[in-house]
Amino acid sequence: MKTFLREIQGVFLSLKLTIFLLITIALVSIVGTLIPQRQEVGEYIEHYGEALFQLFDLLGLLNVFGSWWFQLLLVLLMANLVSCSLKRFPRLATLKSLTARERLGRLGPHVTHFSLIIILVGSLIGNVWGFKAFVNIPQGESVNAVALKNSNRMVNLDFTVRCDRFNVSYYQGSQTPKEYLSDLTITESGREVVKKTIRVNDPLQHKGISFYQASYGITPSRPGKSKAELEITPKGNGSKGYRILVAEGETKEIAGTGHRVQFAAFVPDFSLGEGNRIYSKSDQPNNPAIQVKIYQNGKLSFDGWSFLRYPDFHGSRDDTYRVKFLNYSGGGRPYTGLMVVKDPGVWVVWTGFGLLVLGLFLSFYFRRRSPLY
Amino acid sequence: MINHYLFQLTAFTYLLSMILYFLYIGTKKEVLGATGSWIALAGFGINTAAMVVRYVESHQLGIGYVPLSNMYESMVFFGWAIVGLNILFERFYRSRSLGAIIMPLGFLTMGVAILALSPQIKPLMPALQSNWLVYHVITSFLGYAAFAVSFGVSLVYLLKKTGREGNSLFPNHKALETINYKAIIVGFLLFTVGILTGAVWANYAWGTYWSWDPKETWSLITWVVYAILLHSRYTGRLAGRRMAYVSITGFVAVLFTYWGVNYLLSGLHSYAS
Repeated sequence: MKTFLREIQGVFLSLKLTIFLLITIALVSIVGTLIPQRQEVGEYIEHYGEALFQLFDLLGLLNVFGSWWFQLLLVLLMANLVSCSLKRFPRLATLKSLTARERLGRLGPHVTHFSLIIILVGSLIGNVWGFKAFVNIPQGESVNAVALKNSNRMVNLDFTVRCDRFNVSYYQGSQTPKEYLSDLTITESGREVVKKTIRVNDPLQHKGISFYQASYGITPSRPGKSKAELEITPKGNGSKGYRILVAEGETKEIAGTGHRVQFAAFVPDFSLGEGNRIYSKSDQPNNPAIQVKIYQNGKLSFDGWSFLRYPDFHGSRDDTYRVKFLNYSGGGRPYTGLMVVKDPGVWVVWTGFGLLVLGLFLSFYFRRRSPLY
Repeated sequence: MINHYLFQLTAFTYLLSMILYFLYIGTKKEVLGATGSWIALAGFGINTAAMVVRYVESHQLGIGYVPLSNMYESMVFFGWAIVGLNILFERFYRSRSLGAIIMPLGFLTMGVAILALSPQIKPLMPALQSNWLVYHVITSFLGYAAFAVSFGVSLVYLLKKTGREGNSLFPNHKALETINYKAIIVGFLLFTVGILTGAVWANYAWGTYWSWDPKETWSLITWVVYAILLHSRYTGRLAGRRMAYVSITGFVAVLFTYWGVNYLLSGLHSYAS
């Protein structure tokens, strides 16, 4: 028994095991980047065919980093690291015999390795005692439970999060989002305790749980419920335009002018398909567009599309009127998509990071003049 | 935009410097090496000015950001860092011949940038609007640049004939190996900080410091290759030609991390179009 344990100890103390583990982890990780991870079954079958998909699934290659054997490799590496570090730690007598510089140089690698252990411990703490979840909160509503990312379970929060307002702003004349922000309020037992506007890169933290601005959307708009604000400028009127609010499907006269404006159609994500067919790429308001028809004396004198994001773009060559699509409301409600994370190990990880940099600096700044052997 | 022209001028200046260094190696005329060196310095100045001008022009467009956010901007910074290292290493090792090794890398980087990448100043997506972008990109690319120097030096190590050591202007094999090692140490330190700042930033932006996405995973693989190299050298098991090969492998990993992931794979990190 004793020799068996000795043998096991010998394995863990070997540098050969380290190299083996590092190379194995590296190779397996490479596969994990070449094969898309954690996608839908259908996508794999479409891309690789049924046979390869079954093979990859069997070998666990579709969720490499979350698999038990990958975690095992990391644990083995950690055990190996701990064993080797303990074994090679210089004896107190040796340390005393060195100058201060030499001491720092000798300890450098140990600090480095210790820091790696700290980082792994920190991530372990986060995995076991923390969680990652997701929640969508429509504007004006509150939630007190979030959906765990990798399972169907919900996690209850002991407070409520309300989204007072969600807003996405775009860069002028483009579809590139400039900023997503959510005004969040946290209430406990009915009392408002925290209010914060979160953005990407600027989360809200409360009781160890962080809320990150991750995504957003609009609950699909029900047809016929939008209202649009337009600015109509008839040709020859100079820059004097008329503002008018029209509901979807409605035809309204601009007071006292004889121009009758119709909100003919609306698409939230305007796109041109084959043969210049107009369609909506999605139900998200990425490129809201309105079809406006204008009647003069009962006759149709204008029929064109205007775009919310491109107010100065006039696609229709008919310039009898200039139509600017200013704003719209109603229809679907915006919701904010939040990533919700609890990670009690994160400060352990940050400490590990700091020690890693320190350890590397000590190792190389105070390094020996010649190799060890 | 003015910054485009300045970057193009930078590329030509680096090319000129590279040619002068090559001629210096071929003819051993000191004045050619000195001129190549000064031209490299001038190019570095133009490169610096170009980045500052790009920053200013981005503000004029109403966007305003530090130009490190896409492939074009990272490549021209990469070139700047490589040439900066050339200037430093040349001063430190008092050897103009290093220019013949390092300037081609600097020129190639600028050349690819101005020929193959879009120089347009585009507004930043919300995820990129953070100071962490600056810390993360600068440290990562300074690390990449040091690894590039290691790559160049390793190539010369392998191609240089042994024996007639005194005849060539390049440092001898032992010296090349030392320069390689020092470049890797500098690179490893900077690259580590690059990975760590990336992790901290990811935590603020996405709620997690590590998500095993292809970019993160490949940067870790690169880190492990160089870590293995440093360990093996420290214990005396890696020297000479074998060290040169491993250095080159490391740089191949760098190239895959930088370009391969963006263009050959897909994921959260692929900011390429």
